[in-house]
Amino acid sequence: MVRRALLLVMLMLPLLAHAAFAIPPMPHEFHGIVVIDRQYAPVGTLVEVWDTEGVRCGSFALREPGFYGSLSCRGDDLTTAVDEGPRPGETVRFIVEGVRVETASMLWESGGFGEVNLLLGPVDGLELIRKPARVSTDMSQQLNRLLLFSMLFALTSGLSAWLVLPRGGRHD
Amino acid sequence: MKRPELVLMELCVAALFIAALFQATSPELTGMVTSATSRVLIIRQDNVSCNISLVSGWNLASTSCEPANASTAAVLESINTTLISAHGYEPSGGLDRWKAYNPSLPNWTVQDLVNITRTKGYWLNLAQNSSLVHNGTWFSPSFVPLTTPWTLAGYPTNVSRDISVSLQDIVGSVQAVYLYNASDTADPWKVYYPAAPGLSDLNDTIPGFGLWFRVQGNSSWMVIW
Repeated sequence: MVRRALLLVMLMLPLLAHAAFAIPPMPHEFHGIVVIDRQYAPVGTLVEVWDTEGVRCGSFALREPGFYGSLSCRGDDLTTAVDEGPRPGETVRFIVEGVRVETASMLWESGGFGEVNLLLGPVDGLELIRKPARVSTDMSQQLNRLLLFSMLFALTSGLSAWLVLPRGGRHD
Repeated sequence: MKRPELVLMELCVAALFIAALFQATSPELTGMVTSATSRVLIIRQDNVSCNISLVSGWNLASTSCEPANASTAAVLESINTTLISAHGYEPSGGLDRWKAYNPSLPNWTVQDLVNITRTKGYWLNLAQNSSLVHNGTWFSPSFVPLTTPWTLAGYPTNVSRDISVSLQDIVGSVQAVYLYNASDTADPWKVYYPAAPGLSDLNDTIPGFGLWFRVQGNSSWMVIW
């Protein structure tokens, strides 16, 4: 009986190994503004995200001054002994050029997105975060619409004036 | 004993004859001689409009035809108002294997999911039920690259097939296949273990769904339209 049970376990082992596969988790994506000493961080500034166990889950080198992202922070594969990154609900920490930046608590979530603005230096640098030098997609689209409306208004006004106003010189 | 030039000429004539036969039944054909001696691969193709039904929340999706405009924004335009995010997986991406696209992010963010293709699967997160529609081209056969250990694959055909038939050419390298059916809220994950069909609950490969492949050794999955 025991031998039969052992044989069954041995036969089942490869199947149990298959059942242990874990699909790669999607990362958490971060973006935001980086200000260092009242100035937008220069191109090349390195932003890193670490989990609470000291594992770096992602990084991003700035491609334009002051703005980072999308920074992918990969999660932990729960079927491996290695800690690849944070687990769901774990707090992540932000480091800019080797210096830890205090932020509001940010919890890792597979497939999540988060805006995290990073300030190093005097607090009045926050002004650059509150009034960013660049506008978002929505705002730029609104500006484009406003410009188009203004052009159409100018065109129709001009046409109306041309149709309504007398032409062909003075009438004495 | 025939002269080698004559044999080669006969092979070429045979290849042209086969191509002409297919041409009579198919709108467009691409012929490619893959070996100087014996193999002629005929790839059929035609332009179509592709349609995928998606539900609110996460969908593991794929498109059956190659998009006419492959840019992510163009392919996903029909669901742009309900799309929260799209995610693709690049096995060769080193530590940064996931590529993402989120239409709500500010325009200064670098979005690295640049293109959508029929040979890959994608996670799509939607705010409500939607239909993804785009113009493209179907091909038959299509070759889906499978990379060790994980590949998020597409299923580029409009035909559902028994999974054992679908995978018959690559079954030796496949350890497991996963499909996520969001409509089945009680049990959305379906799995197929070629070594243990009795433990599997994924019976068919279905158009519109992406598939997670766990494989040993890189291979290429041939999918017929």
